[in-house]
Amino acid sequence: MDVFINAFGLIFDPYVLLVVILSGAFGLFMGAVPGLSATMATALLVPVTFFMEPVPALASIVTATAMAIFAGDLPGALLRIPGTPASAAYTNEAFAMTRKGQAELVLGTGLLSAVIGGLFGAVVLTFSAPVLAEFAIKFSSFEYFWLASLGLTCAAFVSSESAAKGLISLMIGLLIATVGIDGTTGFPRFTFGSVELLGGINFIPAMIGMFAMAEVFRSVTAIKPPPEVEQRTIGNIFAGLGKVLYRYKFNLLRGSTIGVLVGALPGAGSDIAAWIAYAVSKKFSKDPEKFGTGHVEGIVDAGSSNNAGLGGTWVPALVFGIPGDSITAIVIGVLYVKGMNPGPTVFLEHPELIYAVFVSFFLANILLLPLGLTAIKCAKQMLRVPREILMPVILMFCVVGTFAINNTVFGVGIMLVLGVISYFLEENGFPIAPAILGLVLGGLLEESFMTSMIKADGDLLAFFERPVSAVLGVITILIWLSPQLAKVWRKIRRATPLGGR
Amino acid sequence: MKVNDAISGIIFILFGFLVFYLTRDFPIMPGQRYGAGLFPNLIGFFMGVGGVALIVRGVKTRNGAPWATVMDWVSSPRHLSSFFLVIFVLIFYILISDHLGFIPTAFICLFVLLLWLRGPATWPSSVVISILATIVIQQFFGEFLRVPLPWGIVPIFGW
Amino acid sequence: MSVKSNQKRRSLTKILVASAMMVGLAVVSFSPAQAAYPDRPITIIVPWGAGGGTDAVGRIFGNLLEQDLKVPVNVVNRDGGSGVVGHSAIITAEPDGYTIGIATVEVAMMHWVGLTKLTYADFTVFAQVNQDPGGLMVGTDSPYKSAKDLLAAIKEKPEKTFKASGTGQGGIWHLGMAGWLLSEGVDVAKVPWVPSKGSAPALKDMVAGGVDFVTSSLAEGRALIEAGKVLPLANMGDERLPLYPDVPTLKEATGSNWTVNVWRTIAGPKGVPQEVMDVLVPAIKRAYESDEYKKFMDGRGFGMIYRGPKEAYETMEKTDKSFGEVMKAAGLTN
Repeated sequence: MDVFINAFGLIFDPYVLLVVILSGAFGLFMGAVPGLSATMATALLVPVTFFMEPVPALASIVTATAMAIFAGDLPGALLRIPGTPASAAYTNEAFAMTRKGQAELVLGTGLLSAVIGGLFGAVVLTFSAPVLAEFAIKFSSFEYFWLASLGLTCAAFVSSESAAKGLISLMIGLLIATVGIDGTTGFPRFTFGSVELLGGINFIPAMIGMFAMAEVFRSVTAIKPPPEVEQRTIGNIFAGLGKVLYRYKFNLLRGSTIGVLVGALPGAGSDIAAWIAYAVSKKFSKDPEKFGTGHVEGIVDAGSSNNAGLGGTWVPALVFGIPGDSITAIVIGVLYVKGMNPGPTVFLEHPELIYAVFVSFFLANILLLPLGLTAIKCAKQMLRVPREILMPVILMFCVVGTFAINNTVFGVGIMLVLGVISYFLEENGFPIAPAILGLVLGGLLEESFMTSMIKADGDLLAFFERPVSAVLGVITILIWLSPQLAKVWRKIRRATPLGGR
Repeated sequence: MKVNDAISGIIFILFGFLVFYLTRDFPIMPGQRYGAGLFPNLIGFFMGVGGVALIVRGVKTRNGAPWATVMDWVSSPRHLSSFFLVIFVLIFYILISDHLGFIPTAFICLFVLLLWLRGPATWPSSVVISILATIVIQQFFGEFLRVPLPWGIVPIFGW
Repeated sequence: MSVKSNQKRRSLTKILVASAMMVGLAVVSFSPAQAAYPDRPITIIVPWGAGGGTDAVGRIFGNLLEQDLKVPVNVVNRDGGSGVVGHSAIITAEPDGYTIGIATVEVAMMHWVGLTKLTYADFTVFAQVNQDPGGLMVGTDSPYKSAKDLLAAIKEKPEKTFKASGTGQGGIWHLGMAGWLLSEGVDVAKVPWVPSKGSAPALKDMVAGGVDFVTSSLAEGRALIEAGKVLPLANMGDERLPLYPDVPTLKEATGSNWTVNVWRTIAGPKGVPQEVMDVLVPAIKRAYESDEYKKFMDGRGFGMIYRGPKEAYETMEKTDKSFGEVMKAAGLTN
């Protein structure tokens, strides 16, 4: 208990609070600008944290990332351009709600579910980090393969269009993910002799191309100006929010749980968590047909899961020094610089510092409420700007954002090419979400499959030999077969009254 | 260009074959029967499967509709130009920014786009918006976030 | 319509011409003056991702050089392509001292695999600032508690019984394992290499029971060693490490003469002028000798070593040769 009081003392210090608020504002901005992600916010904070004590250094990273993940929803909902990869899963849904004149509801839901998800993640991190880490570290490539396969089945749920088009879109995403040096054989694939392509196609320029560029094209080629139902102002974001959250309280819990668990698995992280949470939401929803038309339910799940995932990613990072995602990979470096070497010993040697990190998680997510509200108020100004001014400026932000990923114009080229392709795909009724999902999961899927095959020396049964892997595998296959099983079941049920007795 | 599903189907089947062709000499893993080509080939295969399904669907639902229709904006020279102007501006940025520097390139790109989309009469406000946006982006990315935006011909200042 | 669009076109042209002229004017009136190096920001290219050891070394040097040289030093990650992308970016930059980078041991490997043509000879080397020997680690639940036992079991049991990991296919720790097995007279194909994205995922996979041993440096396994999940068996360097004084060297453990070290050098493209070297090399040396650098390297358990331009270049040359031989013998070359 003393440790906790000490930790509170460390956080509630004027200097630390100032740092936290400033990094919160910084994180909001980074998240809201397409191309700048939570990871980049963290990387940019590192040189600043060199001059800080451990507690403000880590608190600034915690706060900035929590804010950035929420802020990614803002351009997603208002412009159909996700600010960070973690918002990509429900960007179309959120924009559809804005189109219906429900911008207040979608942003309010996004904000509150982010706060609740973030707090849930903080609770889990504080009270069960060691236990959860023990669980997460038991996952080997076999389990990851099934996890990635489960993730891919989400494509079937996130694409409302025809199954064939969803499949092709998914394959496009997976194919893009294979460009560059193959992780298992070290062989360069589809690089056509280009050194830049050797490094693969970075996810962020690809995502900006597929969403933002395609949106710019749609905007400049719109013969009829966009329908005026599109909202120009935003009223009280809390109106009707209580009812929605009460109705979907179970979704909040489910989304947050998925977020923490997926986040705690090294290599998965908030982006994948949001996809899975959204797909699960649709699969178990009472009205799945409303998904994709501007339905708030999926946003409750996914919006809470990506913020909860942030807490989850710190679990393996703190307990075993294994990064949960690219953000915590940087955090581990900062921990070493500050002499808080990750591992179980850090809980013994510096308990007050670790608990201060936990407290900063709570603080950051509570602060998210006022800061997020302010951000929504500022962001709504975007709706007032005429589109013919907004689009060129956004385009320039995207150009610089994609440039900043690797500091080359190559990223800008990727954005352009994929933007043109995805514009034509969408015009022909191909959903874009599965392609993005394929990009997110492609590397994990192939790597886990190929390394598993090396370990098992080509024996496919090995995927069912480990207990966790077997359970995951059976679940995945059951889900794949469930439409057929349901058909058979109905047949049997229909057949019984006739054949029986 | 909006095409009948059957035509998209054919395109993706051909694309699947292209993937097969490109992976023909990918190495296999030592001691296994497959390697770097396995996943791309599976992807190509499923693309083909999707393509076949699209052909079936496209032929079934065609009902005498044309095989391909151009989108409405293609027949409007103004919108068609807008479409190509966006592409052109980005290619211009990719080719020129390193030599000219970020500030002039971004200004030109923004100004050309704004002027085209808003009409020439707006040029004073378009100039102002372009300058402001360029400065804001340069200050935020170049100075605050320290992205090494190219300086090109512009003398280096700031930092 | 046509009149209006004509007008539009004309005024558009006018404005475009005007802006072109403005740009032209800018070229004429401001030609950058020559000043003493450095008079503008320096960029350090890190050929690996944010969060890794090389990234950390790059960032701490960026910070120290910035304080010393009084110009901003930006650290830029150019990862991907097993290091080829970032290293290529370093050697293709202008050799003016404003773009430098961290060149890592992979320079001595990737051209042997046929991924690129670039070699150590394409760099101007300023200094070597770190060196870490490879290691040999098993999970704590492994039945083998010493390098000797493990080696005996590898020799005795049928091939493919053991699997190892640590880096990608043909990466530095793959070479570390291959070199060790070759030095013990064991066929490299007996132990399949399970590629991983780096040391941390490989160690995690070993703890999860996916592979049997990992050959990355002991510093990279530190958190898991302290957590009692990983057991260090040996280090593949010339002497014992200050961090793990009880862990024997490979020579002490099995009598093998094989050593493998990763190193990080600060380097630029070939042809950096002498006046830049005269400023940069001493600045790097001062940064290396600073308390901050020492504190940081000790904290992470990374090995400190300083070699000046000439010696560092010779080290690269030597590594390149010996790695080439081992990679050919192990069948890792293309």
